[in-house]
Order: sequence, then C-alpha cells, then structure tokens
Amino acid sequence: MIQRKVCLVGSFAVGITSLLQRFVYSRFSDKYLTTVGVKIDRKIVPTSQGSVSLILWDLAGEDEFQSLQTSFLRGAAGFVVVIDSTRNETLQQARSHLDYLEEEYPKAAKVIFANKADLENSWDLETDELNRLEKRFTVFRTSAKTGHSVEEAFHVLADKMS
Amino acid sequence: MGEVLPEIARRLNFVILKRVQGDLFELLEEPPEWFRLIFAPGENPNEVRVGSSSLFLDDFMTDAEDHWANERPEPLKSGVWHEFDSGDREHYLEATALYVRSTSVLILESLGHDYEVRMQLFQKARNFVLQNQTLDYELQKNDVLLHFLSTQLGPALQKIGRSLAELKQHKLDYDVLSDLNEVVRVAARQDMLVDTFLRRFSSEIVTMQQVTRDYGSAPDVIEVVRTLVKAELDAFLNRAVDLSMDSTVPPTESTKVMSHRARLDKVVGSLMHFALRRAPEGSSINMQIHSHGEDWIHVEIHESVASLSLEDEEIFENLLSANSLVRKTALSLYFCKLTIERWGGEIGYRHMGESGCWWFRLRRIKKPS
Repeated sequence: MIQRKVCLVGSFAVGITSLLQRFVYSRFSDKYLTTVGVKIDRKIVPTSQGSVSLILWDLAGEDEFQSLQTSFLRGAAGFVVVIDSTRNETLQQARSHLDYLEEEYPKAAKVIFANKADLENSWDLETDELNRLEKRFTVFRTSAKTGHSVEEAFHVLADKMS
Repeated sequence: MGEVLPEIARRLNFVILKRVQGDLFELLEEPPEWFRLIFAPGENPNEVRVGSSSLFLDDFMTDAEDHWANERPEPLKSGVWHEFDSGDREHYLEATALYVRSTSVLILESLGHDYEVRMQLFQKARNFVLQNQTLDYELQKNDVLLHFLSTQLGPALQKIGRSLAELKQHKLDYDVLSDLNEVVRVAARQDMLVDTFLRRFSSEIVTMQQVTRDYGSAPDVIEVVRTLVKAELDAFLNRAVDLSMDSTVPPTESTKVMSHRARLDKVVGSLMHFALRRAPEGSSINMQIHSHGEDWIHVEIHESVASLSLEDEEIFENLLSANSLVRKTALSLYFCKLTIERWGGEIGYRHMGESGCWWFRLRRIKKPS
C-alpha cells in the first residue's frame, strides 16, 4: 500500500491535535492541551488510485515560545495548514507557512483548514481574506468539534497526493 | 568505568544502541522497561529494528544515516516526539545520532518529569496568551456596553419618563391613564436599575473616560505612531505591504494631543491592523501626521488601495449594521470611534480614487508659554 507523510502546521491552539483526534479516532475534547514535540498517527483512506496510508504528523503549534522545526517536514507529500477562524492572527502565521512551503516543497500537495467553523458568532476571518486564499489553495471550513468537512478534507488531500 | 556506564545510562533513562545494519541495532546493555514496551525485540533479544517500531524513528533514520555516513563528530538530535507503548501509555522520547570511534551510535532518551514540567510551563504560557487575547476583546466590548448604557439608554429612559409624565397632564380616559401610569413606573424603575448599574461600575466608567490634558504627561502622537510603525514593520513586510511614516508638523509645534496613551495606542494599532488585513500584496500604507490650524492634529492612514468599498465609506455611522465586517472588527472600529469622540475628536474614512484614507483628529495641547 502506498504510504504518504502529511504534516499539519499552524499557530498554537488552532486545533491541529483535535482535527487529528476527530479524523483518526472520531473523538473530540473541549479541553485545550498544548502540543510540545511531535505526535504521529496513521490512517488508511481510499482514493481514486487505491488506498493510501496517511502518516499524519501533528507538529507543535508555532508561537514566540516554540518555532517550527523544519527538519520534521522533510519527505512530506502533503501539508495541511490550519487556521483558527476565530483568531485572525493565525491567518497571518498561515500565510508565512504557505510561503515557506511553496518555496521549499513546491511539488507537495497543500490544503488549508479554516478550523472552528462551528463558532460562527466568533469568526474573525472576512470573506475576502478566505477568497484570496482560495485563489491559490483548496480551503476547507472545518470543525474538529462537529466533524464538519474533516473527513472530506483529508480525502481530498489524499487524492491530491496519490 | 566501562562496567558502570550501562548502569548510568539505565538510571538516566538512556538506551545506547550500536548500529548493525540499516535500522537494526544492538543493545549494549539491558534497557529500562519503557524501551521493551515500545520496541519489540527481533530474533536476537539483544537486537531491535527501531524503524518498524516507531514511525518517527523510521523517518529520523534518513537524517541519522546521512550523519553517520559523513562521520560528523557533533551529535544530531531528533527533537522530542510522543510514542505510545503496548499498554497505550504515552512516553516522550528524544533520539541522538552520534558517530564515535568509527561506530554509528543511536541514543534514545525517555524524558521524564523535567519534560512534563516543561510541558506544563508551555501550557500555562499559552493559556495566558489566549486569555489575554480574549480579555482584549472583552474589555472593548465592556467599554462599548458601558458607553451605550451611560450615554444612550439611561438618558433615553429619562426622556421617556418625562414625556409620559407630561402626557398625563392631558385629559385621558381612566384606562389610558392607568396604563400610562404603569409605563411611567416601569420607565422609572429601568432608569433606576441603569443608574445603580452605572454607579456600581463607576470606576470602570472613570477609566473609560480618562483623558490627559496636561502637556507634560499627554501622549505625543508622533511618538505613538512611530513606535507602532516600528513594532508592526515585520508584520507588514511578511505581507509584502510597504509601511512608511511622514509628518508635516514643524518641530517647533506641539504634537501632544488630548487623549490617553494606552487607548491612543489601541486606536492607531486597530486602524493599522485593519488596513493591513485588507491591503493586497505590493500595496503601501503611509502614516501621516498634519497640523490643522492651531488647535488640531490630524492622523491619517493612507492606503494605496482602498480597504473599504464606496458603499462602506460611511462605515463609522453604520458600524453596527455593516455586513461586510466580522463582529470583532466592527467592535474594534466602534471602540475607536467612541474613544476619539470621547476626547472631542472626529474619525472617518474617505476614498481618494483607487486609494483610501482612515483619519482622525484630536485636540492639540499647546506648549505652555
């Protein structure tokens, strides 16, 4: 079976671990437990080219206390850049990540998850801001809490990599 | 010394592995329990294939092999990763690849209590940052609500009460008079509740209404803008938006303004952030400061590409109903409006063809003679 490494990156507290918990184990917790170091999960997904084993790297969120260890990105076939829809500053960080990934990994598949889509009343992303991203990348409005678009988004990524 | 080394490693939670071939390693001593729970032995109990037991190490081996092949003397650290053992317990590990006396060595360390303490510190620090971000929003919201209560709702209720009381002087049917009396009582009660609430939060209202009029301690608007430009330069650079600043105020003139430093920082910062959010790559934003007669200082944020559509030009009049803004942004701009107007100033936005300009003006505090 084909195996593909996928790295999930973003600012801290955007919900990377929650997205993976939802996707791999179908579970969710409201409690925020920060990630320090790397966690790896695996899930097999069907694609148009047959099943793919996704090796999912949950990388610690970036902030002033911890920066992204770029050595962890080596060999990745796909990247998920995660934004917290309720914190606009995470979009700025995501843009930096995307610029870096486009330069260093031009052939890798990249998708964006605008997470916490269930918190509509607290959205801090304007339509125009997402539209601009959508011109360059595939963007999903996901919710690790409700599961909205999570499965679909990973499947689309798997298809892009196969 | 050689005979105590294995025991030292065990006690420090290290496992020292000597490379045999590929990802097959030989154990140099009996490892601690956690190692056996994670890494299953091969046919030879003193050998283990690290790659097949750990996805992380399987990945790290690429860098490690390169390190050993080039016989680099310095250690190569993997970074920390989380590994689950056969009993589903979580371990925090770090690997180090070393090339020592023609031998490729892999050292695995289980980070114990110290790492958990480090994680707790990270957790606390990030919780604080999140709380701070939420607090900022909540403070602005409180400001707006208190302002609304003290300047809109309270006076409106009093006016209603007075109007209704005047109405009672006219000849009215008994039923109508009875209803009117009830409405007057309700209006008076609501007014009293609002008044009680405002007195309870009087210190917050005082803070909200703080303004510095003294030349010595008043904020210098050029210094405020300059500090913010310096602080935001990187953010603008990352977005490929050019940020600059100009002032036409002669050095002999005062640039101190009737305001409050912390809130003035907030106003200018919020307007700059909004302009940046909507600025396309390659555009520019120029902060300008001008005198307007003797009494006023103008601050302008010129955008080479207007951030608002023509329909939204009257944004400060229609903030609460502006659908083009997300809630946080609308609140932030409303806060700017309330703050500037509370200081006796004005705020607005204007289009200049393709470009646009956020502006506000504040009363100048003149130099004492």
